[in-house]
Amino acid sequence: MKHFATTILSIALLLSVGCIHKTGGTVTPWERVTTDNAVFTQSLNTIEQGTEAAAVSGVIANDKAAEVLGFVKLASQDDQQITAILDKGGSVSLADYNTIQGLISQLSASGQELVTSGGIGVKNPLTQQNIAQDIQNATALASALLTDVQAVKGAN
Amino acid sequence: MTVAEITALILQLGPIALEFFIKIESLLNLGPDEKANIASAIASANSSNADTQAKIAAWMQANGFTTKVTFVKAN
Repeated sequence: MKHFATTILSIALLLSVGCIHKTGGTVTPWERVTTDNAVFTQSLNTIEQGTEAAAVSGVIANDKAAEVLGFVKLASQDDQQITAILDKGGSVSLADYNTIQGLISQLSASGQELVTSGGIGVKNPLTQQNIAQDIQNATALASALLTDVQAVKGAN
Repeated sequence: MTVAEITALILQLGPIALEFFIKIESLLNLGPDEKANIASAIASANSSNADTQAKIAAWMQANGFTTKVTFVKAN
């Protein structure tokens, strides 16, 4: 089953090589930044689901799971603020950029603190990698999002 | 973020993340209407964040975590 699913995923990825793409034009910086933001939110959702599943199966202690979920909640709340800024559309002011930068810095620091605290080197059943790696990926996605926003700001 | 970076991250998610992949794939196949694409991505982000927070709140309550959870630093 695992091999079958891997094959399907590989085929789907091969078919989608070249994305982000669209019919009838170039992907705009705003489309890119809002899409990447949505990918980031989905990664947080996946960490939440995987952490709860790991807690149910007993591979992670509830106290540690609560710490991970506390981080995910914080990151999700930060992203709500970022999404609200992006939803204004059109342009990113210096003040908006500074706000987003501050939120992502806070998120990255919290993520690093959580990883350093240890105890989360257990496998997330959804991602098949350990939760610490999931968190590092999420903070990397957040940093990439900041780069995207900076590009949008530069294009203004 | 480049396509290669997104693809690498998706690949790291492994075979069980098909649902995740399908959601992302649908987001990345943009149509011609820029406003619709942006609105769709914003709606997806808002929905995902709301879903995440609701599930965390439910889990915290079900497991007796009623106070604010803080991070524990390594000894």
